[in-house]
Amino acid sequence: MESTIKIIAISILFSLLQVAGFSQGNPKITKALELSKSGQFDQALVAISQADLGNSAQNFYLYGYILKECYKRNELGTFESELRNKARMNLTKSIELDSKNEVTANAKFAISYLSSTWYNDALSATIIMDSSTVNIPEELFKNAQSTHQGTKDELLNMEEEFLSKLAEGHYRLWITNTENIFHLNECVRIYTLLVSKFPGTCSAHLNLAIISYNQGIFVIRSAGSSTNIEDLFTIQDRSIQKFKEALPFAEKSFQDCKPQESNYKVLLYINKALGNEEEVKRIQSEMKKRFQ
Amino acid sequence: MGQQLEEGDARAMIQANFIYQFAINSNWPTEVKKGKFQIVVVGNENVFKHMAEKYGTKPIGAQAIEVVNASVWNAGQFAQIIFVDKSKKSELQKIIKEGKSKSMLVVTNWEGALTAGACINFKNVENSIRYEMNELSMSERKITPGNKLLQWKVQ
Repeated sequence: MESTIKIIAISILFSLLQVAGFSQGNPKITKALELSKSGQFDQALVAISQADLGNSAQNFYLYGYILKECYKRNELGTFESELRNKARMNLTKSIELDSKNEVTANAKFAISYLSSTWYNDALSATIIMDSSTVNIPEELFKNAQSTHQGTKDELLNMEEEFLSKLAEGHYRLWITNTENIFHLNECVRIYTLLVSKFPGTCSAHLNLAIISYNQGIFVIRSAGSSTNIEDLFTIQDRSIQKFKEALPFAEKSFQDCKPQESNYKVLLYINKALGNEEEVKRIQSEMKKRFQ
Repeated sequence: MGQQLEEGDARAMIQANFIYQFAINSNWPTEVKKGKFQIVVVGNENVFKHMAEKYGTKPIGAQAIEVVNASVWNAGQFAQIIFVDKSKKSELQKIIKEGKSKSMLVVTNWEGALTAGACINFKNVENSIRYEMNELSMSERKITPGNKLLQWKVQ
């Protein structure tokens, strides 16, 4: 599918450029075009890099297109790609100069491809980020947003997915060291943003509930043989506070979406932790009815 | 769902933590301060698990803790502490009857257990676990609660 679209796009590109006669009198651009036609994009890039592009929308488009193809072949998956940045710049410039509307559609199509790569990279970056690279996913996503060529709804869906993945990334980093609350705070901040921006986000309320509940459990686990009885009461109070914070999120998770077994399970564990025995019985009986 | 629920039983963990505090903050008569310090958990596997995992290798004075999981109380058995879960209420009477002469600290977790003869009973106070004490019952068993335990009990 993608290759078919690409072939169509290239055909349109070359026919348009030839009709426009963009390369007349500019041998370096002619050479770049010829090399592009035969798929030799690295060589085409060398040729066009030395050419004077003037104020020609076609020339900028060709340059952007070659850069995009070089990026695709040489730097796909590289978060900091100079080729991708330059491709975007030249394609955008071609649109600005395109008073006759000859290359704009194709330039947007090419930018749309770049946008999808930034988006994919942003999602990947949330999975591999560590404490020193926490800003990278958001930087990549900003590029995906600013180059997005689709509808507003598509963009919102992308943002929802990205924020969920970013929160998950911070959660992953937090549980490797629960003493460091930076990632916990980031995780809560992002989930809170998600629920305010996308009230129908099914998992965000549930995940906020799980985070608070787990915090409560981690607090209890911090008690040990060296803990004295006064501290044990303090520890218990802190954990109960976390369970109380978790409860409204777990309840709200039922409002957002069709409740799954996981929603019930989280609600059950929180109520158990709070010693709400009647509520525990009610939830257990409802779970039995729904899921057995 | 992105996050994994930590499935630990919070109430059981807290109760196990308190049972350890009862062990280190009480004094037993000399005749039971030898051998293992036995803690028998009747009817609550989660309390047993947390107790064994967290405190199973810790000493009480010169005694090593041994945590035992039991579904019923076996007559003739001895333990410095017996925790009876509310799911095994019916076991309490035989434990009380036998335990009086044996310096066994009986800990429970349901309303009314203290008047039935338990030494320490967990209570739910505004979602928190607190404990009430029957000092007479402890005294009959020659077990002396430390000041810290007395300070923190609820009436």
